[in-house]
Amino acid sequence: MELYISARISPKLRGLLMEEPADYRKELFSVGANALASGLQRYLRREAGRRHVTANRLGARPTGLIRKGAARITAHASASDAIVSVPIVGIARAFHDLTIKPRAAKALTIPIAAAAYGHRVRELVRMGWTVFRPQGRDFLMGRKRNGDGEAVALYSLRKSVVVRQDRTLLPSDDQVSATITNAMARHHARKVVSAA
Amino acid sequence: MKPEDIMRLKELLPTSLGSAEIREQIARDILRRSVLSARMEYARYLADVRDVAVQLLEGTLDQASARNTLEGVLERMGHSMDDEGGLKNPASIRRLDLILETQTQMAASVARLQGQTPAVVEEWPAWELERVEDRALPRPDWAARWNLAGQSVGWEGALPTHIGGRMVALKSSPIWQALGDGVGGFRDTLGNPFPPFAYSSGMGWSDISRRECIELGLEPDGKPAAAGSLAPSEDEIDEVARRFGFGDFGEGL
Repeated sequence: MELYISARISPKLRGLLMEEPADYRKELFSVGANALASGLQRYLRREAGRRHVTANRLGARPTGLIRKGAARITAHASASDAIVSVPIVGIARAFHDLTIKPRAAKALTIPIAAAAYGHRVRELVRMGWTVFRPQGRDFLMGRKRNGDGEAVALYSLRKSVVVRQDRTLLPSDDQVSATITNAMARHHARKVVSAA
Repeated sequence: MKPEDIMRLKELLPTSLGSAEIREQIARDILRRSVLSARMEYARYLADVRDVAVQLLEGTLDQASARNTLEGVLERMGHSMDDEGGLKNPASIRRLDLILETQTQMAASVARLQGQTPAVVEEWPAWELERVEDRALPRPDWAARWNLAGQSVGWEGALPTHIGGRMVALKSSPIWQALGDGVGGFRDTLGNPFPPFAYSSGMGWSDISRRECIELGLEPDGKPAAAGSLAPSEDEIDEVARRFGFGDFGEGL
């Protein structure tokens, strides 16, 4: 999935970009894109630390989804635009609600126990659990094989889930625009000073 | 180039060799351009690894779903589905995470290196090696690795950790290759001058600005970042074009 965000830049910088040759535009865009990529990495690493609500509630180890994605952010530029890729599933939640539905299965399996967090049912079975659905109920229970413990509720079964928009998942439009504009303006100033 | 495109470029390298033999017998540049897994001889499985790694890099698949896909493939191939044997079992959760994380981290690093234009290096001349992903049991020896790698290259473009306690070096410094080579006798490295410098490592790069670089005492040298090219051959380019679904257009003008 690709999202396109238009960053606002100052009229003066826009004018400069219109006048300059394609090579120099590409140079400036590469600086702007790298500034945004670096800034996003720092932002997401900070945010990741605040977003372990479900894992903490269940007493589970976080999956590291956001930090893994932040480490794989990349930027590249052409003379006409710059692209910063943020490979995090569900990152579009920063801009709108997301409705999640099962792709192939009949229901989504929402983990409600630490053992289930970050694992599919198949994996839990491989890890030594016997998983079953109590008749007429909309959750899955399980018992560790060779264990003497009682069965516990592992997953809630849902036809769909709506995840509400959270704009703080990514920096604000103003922060994004300022990061790009400042980096490009600074690089241009360095070029001007160097040439003088 | 986007990391997912770099992943698509990779060749499949089925092998009966173990990880130590792979390191000794297969050239570093071939490993860098390949999708492989120790003692995994099935190209079909490696193609599936490549496919799910592409989706991870696109942000269209999460890690648990990626593992689930590969578990299904391995089950059909007749592998035991017990999560036992640790890294020696191709179907273990640990091994599946390892291959997916290594492949996606490498592709992202190469894409990042390709984005290091002279202007980018001018503005951010150095990288800091720091923890970017959590690990249950992080290696405690990164400072030692850094200092041994730095000593081996005479601290060219790099700062020892006793200066500020950080691991910072110019993007052009040979310390990155020394770190990837495991200078000092570390056998868990991948031979690359970019993250991951060791198997299953959560250490990665953060950009250091020109101003901070100078404040730390590192003088930018204006040289490009260490190479991260996949350098495919022309035949490989044709094969990748087919893989992208462009088809065979026959002889042109």
